[in-house]
Amino acid sequence: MIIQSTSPTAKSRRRNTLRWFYVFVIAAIVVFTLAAGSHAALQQGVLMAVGIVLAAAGIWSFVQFLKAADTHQKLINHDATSFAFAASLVLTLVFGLLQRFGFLLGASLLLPALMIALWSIGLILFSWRYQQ
Amino acid sequence: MKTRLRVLRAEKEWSQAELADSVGVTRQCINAIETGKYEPGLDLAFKIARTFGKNIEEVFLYEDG
Repeated sequence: MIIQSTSPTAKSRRRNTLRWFYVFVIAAIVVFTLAAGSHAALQQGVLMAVGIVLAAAGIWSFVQFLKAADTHQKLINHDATSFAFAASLVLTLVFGLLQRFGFLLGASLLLPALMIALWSIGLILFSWRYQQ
Repeated sequence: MKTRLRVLRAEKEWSQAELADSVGVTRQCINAIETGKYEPGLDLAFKIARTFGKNIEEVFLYEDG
């Protein structure tokens, strides 16, 4: 007997929303970096606006990813977010100290990128926990 | 909580992926339930039981402590 799938697109929806999240976030970081390096006020303003729109799209796709996730994936995501939060807290303190001594100046954009990288590592780590 | 999910699935000759698709979760989720690493919520437990045409108590066995 073959069982019928109740949600044939659920898997692809989860994958697509996660892919779009990474695309939007990387694009936003690139645009914000360009804006920070720009000297023309108008160009900087336009780039900042584009960056904000891309970041908002990233948040929207993240929310869509969470909506498409099942309860087990939400648990993994919760663990990954906790891991990213704790690690970011520690690294923020380290960065703060380094900046105080004149290192890593202008690295403010590094923090959101770092949080997302840590969250991604957390997703992989906590997914492994449930595998055989 | 113990589960008879693996036995019931074997009886029906369904793969983890087939069962996962039918109840709208990932194969990894079904695997985690079978190995006792994850306890499903009521909604998912009912969905799984209904897929097998059984009551929830016939699939999941609650143990005190």
